[in-house]
Amino acid sequence: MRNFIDIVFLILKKDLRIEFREKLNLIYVIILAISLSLIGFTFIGSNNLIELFFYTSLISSLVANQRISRQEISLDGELILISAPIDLSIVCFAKILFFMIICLFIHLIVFIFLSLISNTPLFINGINFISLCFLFTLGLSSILSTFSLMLERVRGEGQFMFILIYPLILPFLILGYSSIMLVNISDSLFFFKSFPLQALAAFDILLLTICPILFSYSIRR
Amino acid sequence: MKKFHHTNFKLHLLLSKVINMKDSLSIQNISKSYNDTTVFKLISFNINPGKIYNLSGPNGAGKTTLMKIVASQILDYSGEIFLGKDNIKDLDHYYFTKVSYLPPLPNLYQHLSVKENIIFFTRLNNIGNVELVESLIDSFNLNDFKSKKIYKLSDGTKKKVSILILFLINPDFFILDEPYTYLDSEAINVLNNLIINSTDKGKSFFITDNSSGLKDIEFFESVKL
Amino acid sequence: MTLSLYMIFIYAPKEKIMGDVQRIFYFHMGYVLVFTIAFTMNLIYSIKYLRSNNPSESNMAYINAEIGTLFTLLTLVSGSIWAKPVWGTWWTSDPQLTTTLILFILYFTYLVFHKLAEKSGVPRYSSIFAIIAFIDLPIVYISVRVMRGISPVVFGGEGGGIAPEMMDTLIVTFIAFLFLYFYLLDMRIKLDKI
Repeated sequence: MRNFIDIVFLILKKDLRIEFREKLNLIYVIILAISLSLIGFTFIGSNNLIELFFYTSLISSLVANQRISRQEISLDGELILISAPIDLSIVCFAKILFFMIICLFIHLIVFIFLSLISNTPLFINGINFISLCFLFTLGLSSILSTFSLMLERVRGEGQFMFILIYPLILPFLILGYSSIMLVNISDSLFFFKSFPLQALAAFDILLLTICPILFSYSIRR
Repeated sequence: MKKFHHTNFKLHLLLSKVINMKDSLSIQNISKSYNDTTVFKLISFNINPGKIYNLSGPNGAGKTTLMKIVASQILDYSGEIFLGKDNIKDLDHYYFTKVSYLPPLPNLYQHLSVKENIIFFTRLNNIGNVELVESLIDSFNLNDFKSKKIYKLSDGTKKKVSILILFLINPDFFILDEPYTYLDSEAINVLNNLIINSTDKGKSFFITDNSSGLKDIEFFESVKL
Repeated sequence: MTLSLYMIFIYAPKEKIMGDVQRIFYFHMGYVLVFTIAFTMNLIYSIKYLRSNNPSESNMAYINAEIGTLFTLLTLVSGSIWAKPVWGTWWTSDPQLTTTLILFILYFTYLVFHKLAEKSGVPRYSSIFAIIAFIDLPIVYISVRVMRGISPVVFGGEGGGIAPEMMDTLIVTFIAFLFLYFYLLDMRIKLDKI
């Protein structure tokens, strides 16, 4: 167990160090997030701010994931980990955590920007809002990280296979959207007991468990 | 076999280890095709402990492909490879504790420094020998480059870092694909020194190279494609 | 199938509120049964393929996904045809309808993904896709129970009871569609061998 945590944090620290040192991907993502927020706000206004928040964060996260993954290919970064004497599921798990942190960073940028331009609070209940952001990001990261690791080496037409992964996140939209409708309820207990949120949490746990295992099977076995 | 003087006695000591009986790598009837093109067919040979093997062939013969297959970088091939009695496909990541592959182009994290790359790889492979790290850095004259990012280094210096990391990991089988490319004559000497010292300790080498770096090494066997 | 058709159009009584349009529901439920079985078999063959690397299992997974996708489309179409006279609209953002549409999009994408994966030399990846896509299937069923929209609940539920003749018709329809599934599967496998 100690070895598992050590390796996960080793890979996570390495990825975060590279990303924050290089900065280019983060700058692209910040510009995209701000632009999308502004475009959305112009068309929708401040009526559906919280939906706009999740929609903008989602699109920015998808683009960020593609950008970061493709950069790894060009630098042969993942070949190092795939050839390392460690279980590949650990690599996948570390990548999921890394991408979650990037997504949460994107959430923060979008949240700050939307709050500034709308001059309206995005949420009433902070605990509900943060929990939903966390759960939404976890499942998204699991799927995107797993497939980006698998597909990064596919050449030719296979490069477009990554776009075909996007429908896999549609179930989140159903559960996430239902939870968004409840997020501003002042009773946190009711929110946490609501079916959509519990289903989202269950979905996340399931994905976090099976994605690393599936990744390991897809590459080595 | 031509002997090299040990310019670094400390390095020699650090590489001394009591080696237990080691398994051989047995490559049996390996064939590889891409779509309808056959790269090579029914290649068989053994890599025994403490021996050096040369892989030779013209450009496009499939040398790198064969090396990657032996290093388990490519899994889509016919034939079998055994480490001792175990098929390497059944060994999963355990195989990488025994075998390491050095690609022609250095495989390092470009935005980390030399020191950070070394620390990362040593921790990933659970290596704690700090003295050996310092000794190898000295041998390859990398002291001035420790805090430099990899992308700022020349190809030769990057190659030295890759080789250094490989010898830190110190697997039983070294698969070296064009190891002498980009290296200066001093670094070539250091590398040959390390190869010979390691074979004395029971390590095996499977090397392919088109440069003249190999001329001073006596091979146990030459595998031709 | 003939018996089933007879029972649907002749034997089963007319529904009190919806009238004859309710009869499409038997077909609708039959389609749901077929796609459930097909997608479950797709999952099983995908897992088997990951373990064995046998291309025939990957092929069987693909064939099942084809049948499942077709019947999901039929479910959506039959649902729309039923919805128009009953709800006054071809489509509404009901959770059950939306999740079924998602299921269709998912498995249609799987079919494309599978072909691309095979062409790119990574057929195992489509098995991974299938396993994750299958997780969506329970959400379709759970959405009917808990995220209650305007779609009717046939089994259980507070007012979900149906007449005995209707239940008999439904059971016979299920059996008929089960045979239809096996028949289509057999035909499709033979087509592959040509």
